[in-house]
Amino acid sequence: MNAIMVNSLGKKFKLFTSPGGRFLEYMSIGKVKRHTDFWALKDISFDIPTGTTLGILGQNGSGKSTLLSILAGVLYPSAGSFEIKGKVSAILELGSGFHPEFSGRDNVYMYGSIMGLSKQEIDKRFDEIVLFSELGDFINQPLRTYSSGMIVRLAFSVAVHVDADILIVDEALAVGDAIFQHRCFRKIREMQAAGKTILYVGHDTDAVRNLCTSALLLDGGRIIERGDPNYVINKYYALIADRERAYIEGNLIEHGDIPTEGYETVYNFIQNLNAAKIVSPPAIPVHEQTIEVNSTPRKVIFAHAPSEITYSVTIGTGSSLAFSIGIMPGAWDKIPQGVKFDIDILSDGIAKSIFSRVLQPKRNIGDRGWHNFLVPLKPFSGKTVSIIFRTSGSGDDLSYGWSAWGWGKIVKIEENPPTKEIKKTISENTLSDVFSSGEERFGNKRGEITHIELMDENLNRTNCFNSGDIAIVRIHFVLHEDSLENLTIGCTLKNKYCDIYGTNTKWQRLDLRNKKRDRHYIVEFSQSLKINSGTYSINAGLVIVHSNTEIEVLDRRYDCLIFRVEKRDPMVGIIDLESAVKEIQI
Amino acid sequence: MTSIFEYRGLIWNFIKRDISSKYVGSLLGLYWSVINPIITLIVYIIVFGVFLKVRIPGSTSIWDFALYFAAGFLPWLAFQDSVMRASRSIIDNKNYIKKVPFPSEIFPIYITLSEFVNLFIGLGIYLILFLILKGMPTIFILILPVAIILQLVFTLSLAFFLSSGAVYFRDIPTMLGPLFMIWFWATPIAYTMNLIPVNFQWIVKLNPAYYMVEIYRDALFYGKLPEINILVPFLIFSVVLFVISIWFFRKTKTGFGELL
Repeated sequence: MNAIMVNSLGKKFKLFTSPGGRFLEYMSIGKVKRHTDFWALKDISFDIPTGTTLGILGQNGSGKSTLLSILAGVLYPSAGSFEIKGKVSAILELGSGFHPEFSGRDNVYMYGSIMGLSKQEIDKRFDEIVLFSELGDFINQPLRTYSSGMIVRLAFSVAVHVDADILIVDEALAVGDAIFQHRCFRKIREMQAAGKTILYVGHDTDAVRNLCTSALLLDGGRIIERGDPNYVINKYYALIADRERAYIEGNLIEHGDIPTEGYETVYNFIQNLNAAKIVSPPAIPVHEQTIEVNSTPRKVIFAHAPSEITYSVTIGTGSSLAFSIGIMPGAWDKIPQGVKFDIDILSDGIAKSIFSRVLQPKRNIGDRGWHNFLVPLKPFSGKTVSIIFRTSGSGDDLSYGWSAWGWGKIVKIEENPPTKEIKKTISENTLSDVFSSGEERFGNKRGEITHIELMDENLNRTNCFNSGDIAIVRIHFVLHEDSLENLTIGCTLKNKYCDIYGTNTKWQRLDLRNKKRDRHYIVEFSQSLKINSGTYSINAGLVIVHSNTEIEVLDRRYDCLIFRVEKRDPMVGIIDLESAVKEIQI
Repeated sequence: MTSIFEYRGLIWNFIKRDISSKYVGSLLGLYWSVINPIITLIVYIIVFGVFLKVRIPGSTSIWDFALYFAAGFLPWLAFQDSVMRASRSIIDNKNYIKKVPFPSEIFPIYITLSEFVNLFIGLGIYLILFLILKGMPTIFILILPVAIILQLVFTLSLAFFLSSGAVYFRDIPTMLGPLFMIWFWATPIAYTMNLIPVNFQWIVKLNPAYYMVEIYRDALFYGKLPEINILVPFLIFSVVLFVISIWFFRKTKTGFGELL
């Protein structure tokens, strides 16, 4: 038998840009549309058999709280249906349903009567509730005098003592102190033993692992994984690692150079955004925003598809159009079909396409990041034209599809451009292969680490390991000079706080002599990850050791890869020393 | 409505809490409920009875006018206060509505009921005045419960409409102040029906509040049975409005969770 049955449940929120829009829609009885739909939940189906405990994991904004609010009867679904058999007691938020001016005692009675208990029934449980909450005489003080921990204790005590068949817990346990948390878990186990159904929602994977019989992973309002808690938790970590990687990649990669020297800015599209004619979806208007690329703030124009920005400009001789296109990392997974970027120029009544490109960052790694372009405007010299920047795609779901035009300008090439070569930093394809980075990089670049690979023992690329697995780090490098002596490559594993383990080719007695310039070399570090669960990163370095004290850094890359380690058997600390424990008989 | 009845214990708890937060240990609460209506009464009686010399038909006594005015004004005051407070009941209790699953009908109901304490205080003031000025009331004082119940049904209807409407249009509670002022002056409370030009009297008869105060005045002041063409239209109107208001509230409350 199922205690909770959820059948293709969906929840749609209407997003309005202004309160006036909502008013207009009401008054027009559906004639005017001023909102954009946002599906916080879509097509959610699951059953919870009576007596089981389900954990729901997901990042912020994945729809967890919306789902709980619907199951608790506070929000109404927009699609689908659900059925609940039995009385539900929900701890949705810290101290919700409590009144700050009334005493703990009054609040217990209020909450009890909300949960449908009569005064006599609450009388019977009252002492137990107070005892469990450890509030003592504080129970007669107004709630506003309580600490947040005390409120949680009271809320939890009441919620578990009202004889509900189904208990919904939303992260509330995280607030109490350690002792209280232990008591809560014990109480939850008692309830499990008594055959109650429990729905636990939160970020706390340990709680899910320890309490739940099964788990769901929500992302973007959809169920993306379900099953055994350990399996779902690993997927959850993979998702986080993935997002982290995507976020960092999005802020790192840049394809092509921005014209800086030898060019003079004639017209800045971002500064003149106010003068442009804009057509855009109402909920996300075209707007200017600052993002970070390679740790440098840059200005972009967010243009959620479908959008159209039209500028009217006079084009001088020798002008070119310099701009960049990109899609925000958070949207990559959600728009497999990509976004199309078009630039048309309307001159003498004739529209001509001068640029068209589709970015599909989910399918094509090369499409990630920012793409700089320079388009000559020679055919339009001396004319006043309309330049139309257009984005299109399946922009129906506005949680996704954040496309943007970066640092757009009309530039003019100087009469005698300086001969100085624009320095090409790193070739395109290598950088897009880099896994992830909040990377810090420095060195004199006499040699370069082009990229670093992290693989399991079967040479499959991964960034999730189980404790004890073999991890293989391959450091690819090129040298820009011949026969560099005392070349050394180092590789260090570290966590957020400290280095865990590091070694180098010199200590490992690997000789790197007689390497030729501009050839591609690989050094492999293979190690066993006998370490605790957690997120770790890798530092790699290419140096020349002149003496013990003098080291010349050619290329050093800190935090260039991030990976996650899972460990089933609990331990404290970082290193698994594989203790053997036995009792000595006297 | 049956599910609401199951929550009567909870409604009672809410009312107790509301009243105790307003009156217990608060001199000010007492002031608003007792002294304030008395002062207002005196001011009106001085302006209308003494300065403007308004008298009820067939009497020259200022005390008759005073009692006539009080019999309409005190219920009106309770009506106005209940509706205005109830209109905020959903917005003000969003902490419950968003977090605790139980019927949100409870909020306008308990606020209305709790504000009816003001009505009883007002009626108490009136009866004391009446005893001093006129002596014992007639047997038709027994009509009073009917008047109270009809007022309750009428007030609840407006409470349902406005409390839910206020979620969608936040301006409603603010708009009510001036609207009630206009409504008060459009209702023959501080003046009598015969002061209105005959060809405008039909407008007054479209005003439900006129029927409400008329029933009170019959029970409290005139000491007679309300006329059929006063009682029946108001009864039917209130009940129909009540049913529609509940339907409206049910229809609109699905949006509370996300709009609050």
